[in-house]
Amino acid sequence: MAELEFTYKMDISFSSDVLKHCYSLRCIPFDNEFQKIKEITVDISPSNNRTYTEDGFGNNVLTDRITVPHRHFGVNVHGFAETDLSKRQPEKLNGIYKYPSEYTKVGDAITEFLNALPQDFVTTPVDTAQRIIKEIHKVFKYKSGATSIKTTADEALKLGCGVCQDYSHIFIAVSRALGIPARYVAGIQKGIGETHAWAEVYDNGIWIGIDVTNNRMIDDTYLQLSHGRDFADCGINRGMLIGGGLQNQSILAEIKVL
Amino acid sequence: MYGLIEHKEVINELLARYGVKFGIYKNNRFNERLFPFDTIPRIIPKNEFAFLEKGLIQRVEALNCFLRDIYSNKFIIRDGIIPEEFVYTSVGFLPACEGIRPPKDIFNHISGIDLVQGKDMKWYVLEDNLRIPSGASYPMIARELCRRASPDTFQNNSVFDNRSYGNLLKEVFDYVNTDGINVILTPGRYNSAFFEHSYLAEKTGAVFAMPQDLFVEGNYLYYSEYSGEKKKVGTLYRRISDEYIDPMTFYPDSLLGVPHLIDAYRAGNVAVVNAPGNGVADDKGIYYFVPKMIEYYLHEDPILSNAQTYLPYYENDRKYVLENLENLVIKDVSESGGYGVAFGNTMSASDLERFRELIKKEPRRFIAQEVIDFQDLKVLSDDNKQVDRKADLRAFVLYGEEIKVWRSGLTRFSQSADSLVVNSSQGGGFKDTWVLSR
Repeated sequence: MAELEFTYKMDISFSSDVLKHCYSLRCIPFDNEFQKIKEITVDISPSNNRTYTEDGFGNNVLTDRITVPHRHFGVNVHGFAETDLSKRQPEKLNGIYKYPSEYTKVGDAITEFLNALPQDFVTTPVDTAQRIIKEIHKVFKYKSGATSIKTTADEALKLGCGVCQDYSHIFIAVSRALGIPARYVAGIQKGIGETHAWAEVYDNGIWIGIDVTNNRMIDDTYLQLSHGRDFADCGINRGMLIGGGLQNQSILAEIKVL
Repeated sequence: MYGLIEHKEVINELLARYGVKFGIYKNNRFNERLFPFDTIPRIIPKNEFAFLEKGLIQRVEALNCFLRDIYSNKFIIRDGIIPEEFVYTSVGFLPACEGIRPPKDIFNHISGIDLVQGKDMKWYVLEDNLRIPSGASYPMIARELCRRASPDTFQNNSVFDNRSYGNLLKEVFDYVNTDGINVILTPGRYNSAFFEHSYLAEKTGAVFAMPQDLFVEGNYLYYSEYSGEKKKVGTLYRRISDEYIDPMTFYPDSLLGVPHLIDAYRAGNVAVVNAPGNGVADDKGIYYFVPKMIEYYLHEDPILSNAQTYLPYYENDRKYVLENLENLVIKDVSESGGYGVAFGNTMSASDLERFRELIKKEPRRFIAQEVIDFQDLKVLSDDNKQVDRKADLRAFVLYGEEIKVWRSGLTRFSQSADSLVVNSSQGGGFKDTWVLSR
């Protein structure tokens, strides 16, 4: 069990007026049996008719539509959570997590990766997951700026380097191809920095989190914001705007373990 | 009825003047062309149509049960009736719609069921269209013009009046409406069915809107008037396909959609006609399972038959398909509108071999069907001779408080005598469909 203080801050400044702005934010952490939100404040500016909804994957979504011209968009989410992964309850499996999605299609690079795996590679989901990660780390290195938010698992693997999103996508593509249901998680890890992404595998009714990038199991120091088939389902800030010119964005995500 | 024949040219001229056109994208170019009208109607006797009606209502009800089930409990997968990968790998299955309960639990408000009649006079369902089936306006306006050109014809024959379609559609809109106005949303004038969108708005009294006229705020959908006043929308009959309908949920680059529409719909604050995600039920791979759905959900025997279909996914079927490919029709499940259809009997030996390899490699991607020897209908040629053409029938089934079949339909015929493909996007023309009332 852990007590966490969490912060998610995003600021975007625009070089000219944004005339119309619609957004869907997935930056409100889950409040469930293993991640209890004790306190939360959400500041967004500008704001018009802020609406809380849920999407088809069970994520919290905050939506709004702003028609007042603005050159700055700021989001500040801050609060306290109590996490205890041992309280995680069994869930029914949604079959979508067994098949390739847009970002996790099996192309040449993934196929080659799969073909190179030794015989009898697949054992239990968690054990197999850990072995997949070891194999990924042999051929894939961390490097920011090499990939973009549009890079698929196959493209990233071909490049041989990328960030947490790419690590997770490659893992998910491989895992599903080997018959282990897997999904993508967006969240925040201990310390100060950007938001993080990891994966979960389905083992006997329970989703088990694995930090593919850092090669470790998810523990109570991680905070979950959303999950889905891949990055596309978990966009933290999905927006559509008219006007705005050039954008300058800064993000700060922080977890303090109390 | 033969009074009509001599009016062929007049009626086609009027159709052109009213803008009854069909747009086709070919090689990335948009071409608009007239949809040639043949004045000889298809005539369906009263008893025969009554049989079709029963079968269509049953089929449409089962398809709605399937959609409700597949976006919630998925019992049909659990019970082993449909293999799960046919659902989860279908491009029409939209996980973003998981758990949505549309107003009145209706998903397929408007179904366009394509049928053909065999030489044995038996009707077969070829395809279900549950996304945005188009084409109802063509026989509506053609009938109107025929009445004008030859009023006697309709006094001397007992034909059901097909001008009721607008009312039937309005009844559906009103039934599912969540306390707001009815709106028909068109992507704009470069859509292949733009004429139909405006015509149906006129016939149903719905507000005709472009994407920029609509917006979502606080999980409600609004229509903004010129005055700046906003009106709540209760039913949205959208003629924009799923992937473009909401850039916040689907294609982020879509300029045709309404941001946050899916959120408003999920909240139960607007009825979207037809429901987003219906593509999973009219997938060519799922088609094979529709008779099984009827048995599973309704505990009835299917009244209408499918064309004899094989799924290479199943080993026995695959074996049969590979051995008999030259006699079968092969369809790519991810294509529609007559694209991705290949006839084994017209393929060269090397093409057959290539298809065999494809089927072995991606069995899930194809279905194969026996070629139905369907009835010819008489069509007037350019030199006014009666010639034979293959034709199908798109029946329109409307799901409101009750399920009703429109007593008419769109009869499409092939461009040339040897073609079996009748989709409007592949050339060809249309006929009025008369359902006899006596």
